[in-house]
Amino acid sequence: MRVGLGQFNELTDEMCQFIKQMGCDDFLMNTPKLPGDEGHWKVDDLAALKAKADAYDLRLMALENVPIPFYLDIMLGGPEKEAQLANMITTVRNMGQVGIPILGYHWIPVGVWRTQEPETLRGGARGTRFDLQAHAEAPLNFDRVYSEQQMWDNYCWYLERLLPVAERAGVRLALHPDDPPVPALGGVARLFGTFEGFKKAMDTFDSPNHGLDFCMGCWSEMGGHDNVMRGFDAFVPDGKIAYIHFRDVRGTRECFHECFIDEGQVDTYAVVQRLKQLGFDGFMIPDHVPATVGDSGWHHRGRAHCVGFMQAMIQAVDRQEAA
Amino acid sequence: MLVGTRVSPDWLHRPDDLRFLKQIGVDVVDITMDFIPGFLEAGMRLSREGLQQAVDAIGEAGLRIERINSLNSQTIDTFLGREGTERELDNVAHNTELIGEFRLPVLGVQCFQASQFGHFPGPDYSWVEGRGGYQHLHSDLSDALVDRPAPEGSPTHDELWERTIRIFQTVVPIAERFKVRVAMHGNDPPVPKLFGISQILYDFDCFDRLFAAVPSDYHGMTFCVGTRYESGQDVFEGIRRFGEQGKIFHVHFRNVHGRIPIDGWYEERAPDEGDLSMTQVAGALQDVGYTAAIDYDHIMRLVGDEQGKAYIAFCVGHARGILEGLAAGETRGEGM
Repeated sequence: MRVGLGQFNELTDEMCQFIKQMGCDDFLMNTPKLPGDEGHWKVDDLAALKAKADAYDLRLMALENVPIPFYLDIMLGGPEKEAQLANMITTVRNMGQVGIPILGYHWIPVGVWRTQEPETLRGGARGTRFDLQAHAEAPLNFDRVYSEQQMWDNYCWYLERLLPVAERAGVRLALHPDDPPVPALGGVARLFGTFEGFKKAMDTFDSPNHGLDFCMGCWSEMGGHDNVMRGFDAFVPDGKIAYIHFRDVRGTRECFHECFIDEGQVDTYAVVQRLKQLGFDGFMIPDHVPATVGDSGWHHRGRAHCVGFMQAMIQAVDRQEAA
Repeated sequence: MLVGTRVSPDWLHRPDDLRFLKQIGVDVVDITMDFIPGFLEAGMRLSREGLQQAVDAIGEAGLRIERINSLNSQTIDTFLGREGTERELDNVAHNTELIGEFRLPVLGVQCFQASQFGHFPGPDYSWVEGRGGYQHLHSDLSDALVDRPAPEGSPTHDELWERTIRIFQTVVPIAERFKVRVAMHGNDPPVPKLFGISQILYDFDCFDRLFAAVPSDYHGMTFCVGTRYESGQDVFEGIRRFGEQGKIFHVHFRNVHGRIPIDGWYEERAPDEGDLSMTQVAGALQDVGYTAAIDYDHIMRLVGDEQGKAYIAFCVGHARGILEGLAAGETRGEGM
């Protein structure tokens, strides 16, 4: 079980150094800033990222999320879906060629939603907040309503075609939950906000090249500590967890706020202990962290805090297991 | 246990920075007396107004002062046997009374450091690159430890004991009256001589000698994990030895690579990459019933972190993780 970093889109020298200085060897990037006018990522651009990581003796484990326009019509069943699929196939093959092992993806064409005015945390730090009631009157995001069945059909159409490509390319597709995990937002049904949703995705498209980007924050939103444990119990033994976002909230899917990792509703010690017992050998990264006074846009301080916490928690569990 | 951190005097006027500490999960802070407005100007005498201002500034951030530490320059005349000793001891008594009135839990009293004697070339501290190029301290003592005659006029071992005990005989009875715990940190670096100049608080037996000379339940130590490890002694034995006597009042929770008697050098490192498992250290502290602060101590340099705050955040997150891990193990009866 390793601690890594991620959630940035430009791989600067300073970032590489910072990751190493945090004691990490693994990282991922979110929607890296790469040329993509043609709707896919090119080998040379991907290879440059990989080479930079290699130069710092870092493992570029995953790219999380292509830009939504790369596959929006695939998600919505729009007219460009065939062309977008061809491009996604190119991107996956290129990643495989370069040796970037995981492509994180989500099925939320309307994106992550939060409610204005973040929650005030200890010392006046700020954590993002979501309150479903505040969005009751939200207009449709697209031309019409997209039902659960339509979104599932579109999902199947995509996975049936892309997953075999990923298998041949040696790339693993990792599914991120719908955040917030409510049934629908902006008129678009959200498939992956329940245990059953993930189970269905993993069972229907059962392959070593398909897994979960297990966002502990979202799983906590879905049902707190017990739900997080249920998710790990169900998916770690089958090797279905590609990596973990180590984040937490207080509240429920309808109304929650993000918080520091040491003040959430998940018992993080129990989680790390269970992950170890279940044999999880992947990596986990800090996800969103609260905004502290004077922090950088990427929240260097907040992330450093989370990395320190995660490393200590792993050590604490290791020590107990060794006793 | 509480998570503590030191703040330098300029933080008095940096309310946002104090708030930052609260945000990342710091419980208490450690200050030096020059944090108190007017202290230096009054010739190292505390004032009620100054103390109130400091207590208020820290309180407004949701924190409180756990330890107030003396500067070793406050008793330099005493250590060197110079005129001015009486004035210094009068200040020390006055300061202890006020700290008592303000009910600050721990008063740090400093010992003589060889570096306080003039013409001292200093141990060779340098910043070296660690993982990913972060900068941490490296101290090579090979030259400082070469046996040489004591410099003219430097205090002898016996003189230092006599003078140090005098300071403690002044402080401890007053502190006792107010239930303030007086904590000796010991020498940094923890060696009996540097460039031939004596130091007297470098190992466990030295601490015992001091406690025996001025016996009190309010007389104990800042157990500095870093210097205790550097000294070559067993940190865990030390925690048991002093913890069981109830002598550990404050903890500097710093990790180190290298031991002076064995290596002739040591390096201060990030908490997760020194020779010690800080989880194990915290477990040992818990085993002896220690409940006060652990303070990660010195700040190393990360890329782009000019103010040291990402490093502080890392250390505080690490400490919180350790404490949560210990608490969880305890609750479940797993004998962490």
